[in-house]
Amino acid sequence: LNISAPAGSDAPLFDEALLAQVRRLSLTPAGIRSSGLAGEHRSLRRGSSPEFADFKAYSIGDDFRRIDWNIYSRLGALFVRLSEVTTDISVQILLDASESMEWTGGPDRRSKFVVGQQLAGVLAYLALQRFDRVTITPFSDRFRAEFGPAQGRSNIHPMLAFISGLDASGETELPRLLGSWLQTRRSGGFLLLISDLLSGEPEELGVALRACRARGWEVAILHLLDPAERDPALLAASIEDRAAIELIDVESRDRLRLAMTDEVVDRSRDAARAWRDELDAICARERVLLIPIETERPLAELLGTLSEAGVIG
Amino acid sequence: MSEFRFLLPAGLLALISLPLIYLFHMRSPTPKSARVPSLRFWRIASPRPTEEPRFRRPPLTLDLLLHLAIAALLALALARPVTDAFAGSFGQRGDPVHQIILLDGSTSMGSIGSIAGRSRFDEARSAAGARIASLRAGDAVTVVLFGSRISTRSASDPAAVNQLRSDIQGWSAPGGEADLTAALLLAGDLRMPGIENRLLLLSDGALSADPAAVAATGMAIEDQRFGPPGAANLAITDIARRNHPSRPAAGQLLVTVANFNTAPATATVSLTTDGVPISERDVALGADERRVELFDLPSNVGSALVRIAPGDSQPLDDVATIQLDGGGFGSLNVLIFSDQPDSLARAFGALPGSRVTVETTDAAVAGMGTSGFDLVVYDRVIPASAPVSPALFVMPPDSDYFRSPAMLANSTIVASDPGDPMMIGVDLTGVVLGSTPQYSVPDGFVVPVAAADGPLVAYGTIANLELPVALLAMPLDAGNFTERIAFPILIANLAAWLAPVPPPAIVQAGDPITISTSAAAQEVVITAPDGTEANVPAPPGDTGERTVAFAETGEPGIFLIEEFDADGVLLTARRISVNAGSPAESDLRARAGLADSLAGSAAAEENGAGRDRVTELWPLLALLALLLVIVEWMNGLRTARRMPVRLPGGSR
Repeated sequence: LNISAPAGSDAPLFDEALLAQVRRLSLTPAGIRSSGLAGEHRSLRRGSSPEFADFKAYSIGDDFRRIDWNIYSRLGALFVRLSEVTTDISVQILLDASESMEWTGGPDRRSKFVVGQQLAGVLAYLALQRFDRVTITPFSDRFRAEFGPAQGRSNIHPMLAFISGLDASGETELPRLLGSWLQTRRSGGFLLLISDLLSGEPEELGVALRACRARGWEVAILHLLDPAERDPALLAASIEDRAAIELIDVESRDRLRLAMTDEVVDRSRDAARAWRDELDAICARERVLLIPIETERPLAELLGTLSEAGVIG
Repeated sequence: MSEFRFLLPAGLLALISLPLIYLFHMRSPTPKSARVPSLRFWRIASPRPTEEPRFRRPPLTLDLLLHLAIAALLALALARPVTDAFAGSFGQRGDPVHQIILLDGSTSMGSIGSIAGRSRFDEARSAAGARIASLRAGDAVTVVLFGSRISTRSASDPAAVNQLRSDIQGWSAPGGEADLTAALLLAGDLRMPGIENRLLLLSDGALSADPAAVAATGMAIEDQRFGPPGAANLAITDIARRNHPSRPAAGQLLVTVANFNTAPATATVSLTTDGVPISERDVALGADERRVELFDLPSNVGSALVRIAPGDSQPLDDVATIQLDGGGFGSLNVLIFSDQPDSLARAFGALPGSRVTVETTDAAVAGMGTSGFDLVVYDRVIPASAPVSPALFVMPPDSDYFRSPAMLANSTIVASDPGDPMMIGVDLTGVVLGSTPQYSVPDGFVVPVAAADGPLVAYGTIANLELPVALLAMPLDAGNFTERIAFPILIANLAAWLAPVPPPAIVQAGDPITISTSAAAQEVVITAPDGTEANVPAPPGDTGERTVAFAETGEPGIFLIEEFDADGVLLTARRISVNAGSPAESDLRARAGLADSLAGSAAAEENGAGRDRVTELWPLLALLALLLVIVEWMNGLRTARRMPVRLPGGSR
């Protein structure tokens, strides 16, 4: 694996050792509806695959080609060999590439977009490793050129190169884009939404998620959060003259001049917490998995979080 | 009183920047900005954005003070302020200056100065060099060296100024009595229009000046003095010889000894003649007392030297010399060939310093040599060989020099030129002459007195002799001419023309020696006491005035003056004593009124006669402004370092 570092960063986006470590993992979406037979996901369906599952007594209509003649020679009874059918799933990764994802609350921290790239790459890697059909769709104010659908390990390297070449820019309007995206997908699958969700109201997002669920998509949201977003005091501490500060929205370029007093910082922290609580409630209501991703944590720990949440296993 | 003014007052308009700077600081500062991923939560936290007024009362910050100070300094610098308060201290002098230096070279400056081994003149000379060295490009300098005579030297370009500074160190004092008034008047004339003129007086203060001359300079006089102002001095201020009242062959020496001090002193006076010690005595002198000491002189001595002890700060006037040999080198030696010499000997003997020798006409016929005589008189005789000295022919017989074919028919004086040099003071009224030959004189001869058909007095130069020759065609043994006062006067005039009167035997140091050369002289060689020789060409023999002036008499002692003819033959040799002592120059104490006199020049300058010495302050102000800019920059740098390097947002 030889994936260059993303623009503006000295560290490689993907670590070979980490990929080797997660190679035996796989996506484990609950309640997903599988479709093809190319994958390695176990299925309740029985078929003619080489994977033995059980024997059953022959009955009229069974494929006599599957009669186990060795048993017949020993027991004199006809038994049919049953085998397990493996299936593949459609994994859709929606990666938020808006400009707010580029933001970082500290000069030594990775941006949310970098963390999102890494997570998308690892998850897609697991999917391709298990012969799932993977589609990666970056978006900001519109959908950008997507990767896939691709299946098979031969697409791992192109997938990682694709992710490494992405950049973050522009605004986004997640609920509207999610609705548009849903219109272009015929069947359901596993939808992994990687975003900071700083677009639209939580209720609008809930509506879009409900539509996804209705169309058969199992949805997991990887909610990327910078530490300074969780605690605005970290941002305030880095500003010398807090009596007069002009805040600039990195996406809309809107400006807000305020005195960043401790009281204002506290109120901002409370507002952020209430917003996250509302997201939690809506996702729970819509049976969508909402996984907070703290960007200051190393990638290995984040994968542990995903494992605990049941996304991978 | 120091003055402060602006050369470019319009530059003060730049002070308008001060309220502009203040206005700039009144603006509400644009707050620092920070990028955030979303304003969602901040809008909830601060629903009413902060609104600040466009202008406010500016905080009293270091930046504000520095900006105002920098602008004020630069505005003042633009106006080019000048002041005379710091002249020479710092800053840049504006216009070029003309530095006039009056360097006292009088005899008193030869006394020992503040530093042992160096005279006051040496110190003043060094000070003049230092002042010239401090001049800048574009400045001009004029040095006036004044003693009994004045010389000037000017330089304006840097190379010439440097050369002058170097040359000054080789100058010697002209000596004599300082004429500061003349030097000040000259300095006033030397002022250059349009630029600042400065006047520096380097002296020992032992001189005086006419206040009117001081005021006429139009410049403030910087008075720099050398040597202790109250230096005491014992000096020989005069020396003279007179005949002994009872022994005419001998003489007496009159020596004036003076004590220039407020305390009594005793001087040991010693006399030496021709190198032989003769006498020594102690002379007690009161404060500022002057006393004449009388010494008997031996007979036939050539020179005398008087010395006083103990030595003091002015050694030059502790010694005085005098030439005593009237028949020696310093006199008029006259040789008369005559068989009836009484009237001629009387007339020539009456001449000051003359020494008359009488020989018979046979000696002249026999070819007696006349070398060494200043004048030879041939009374009714023609020498066997051509004369080698100026000659006066009295009633000569017929010869190649003066043809005399016959006697005058009437010897009555009919023509007399009272304007002729030979006739000055000669009144021939009532003169009766006896029988007189009729002469024809060579071409070019002047005939101031004549009868109806022939000259009675004539003078000129005989071409083949190149000697001045005079003809007196008046019988001395007949008539009444020798009994009239006109006779010795005419003889004196003829002698003065034929053999110029020797210079005085004593000259004051610094005073020029005027030497009347003989007609045959081609070159005069003057040997100073230190052995240095000066060669001065003698004027042509046909000119009316045959005088040579020699001014380098600053060093006291005996000067030898020799005249040589065209062949290098020594014609005459004389000695002159140059003495340094004088009532004015031997008094080394600073004159009390000099400072007050010089102070008058400052008042004249205050009245606008002179221009101030000013110093431009703009370089100083600009430098201060630059320093404040650096302070402001460092303050800004320090503030920036205290702020975070990066504000959130924008980078990975």
